[in-house]
Amino acid sequence: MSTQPPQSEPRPKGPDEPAATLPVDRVVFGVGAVLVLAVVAWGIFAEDSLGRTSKTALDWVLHTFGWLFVVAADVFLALTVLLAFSRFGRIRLGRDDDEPEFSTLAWVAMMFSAGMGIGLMFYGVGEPLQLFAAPQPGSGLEPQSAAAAQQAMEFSLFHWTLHPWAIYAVGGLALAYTTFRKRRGNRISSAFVPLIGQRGADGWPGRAIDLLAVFATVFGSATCCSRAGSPPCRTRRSSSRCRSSS
Amino acid sequence: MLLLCVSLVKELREDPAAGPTRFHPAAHGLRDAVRVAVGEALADAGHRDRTPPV
Repeated sequence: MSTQPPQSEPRPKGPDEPAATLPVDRVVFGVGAVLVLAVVAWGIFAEDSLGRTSKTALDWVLHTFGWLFVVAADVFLALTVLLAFSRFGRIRLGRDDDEPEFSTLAWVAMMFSAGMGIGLMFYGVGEPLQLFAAPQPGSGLEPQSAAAAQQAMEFSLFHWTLHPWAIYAVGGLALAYTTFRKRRGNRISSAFVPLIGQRGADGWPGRAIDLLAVFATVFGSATCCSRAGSPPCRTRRSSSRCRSSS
Repeated sequence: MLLLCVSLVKELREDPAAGPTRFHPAAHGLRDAVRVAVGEALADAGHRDRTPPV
């Protein structure tokens, strides 16, 4: 029987080495939990009110900042390509002598499972067909026309090919870099230390960033799961469960 | 997210593991060439000395 430890066993930390993770921030956890539960209660007891409010907010955001989504996604894609092929691509997301914890195949499987998952399986086919049958409101395109097919493919390629990976990569890279290389802990506010300083990250600016991240993660995941798990929509107005897709 | 990009790039540029900068945007080549042409010594730190070996 071999007494050697397995190769995948993590290297023991030195006495002065900071931990990669931090204890739970009770203020962020408490305020975030109360806000999330309040929105959930709002949805349970006043569904129509929450629906109207969220639809108004979504319409305002898309009407006012729709262009910013496209520009920002392009910036993320250009940045990730530049980082990967420049000298920054040599930086290890961990200590200089760290080895990867998982194989490349396992990483790819995890990225597809956690990053795209059921959304790619369902909307990779469903979105072009849906947009072909019912083009975006305000586009003026005839349903099931050649122009509608072209726009449907443009939207689908934007939503499900390189751009979403770039968005994931920027967030994941910043969090991995600050957690595993800088050893500042796994809060998203730690990634903003170069801009707001360590004091700001530990204070209310950092907590506001963390709360925003909690909110975006919880309700982004909830929206993704509910949309991916909902039945196919024949048209945008055929079912009340499909209204959020417009 | 855009601010996150700025913060990330700012930090990556200071990481020594990235190695030295490959490209120097300033026109050092032209300046060095003129200095070599007029026989002036290239003493600035970080500039490549293009004077032929004696």
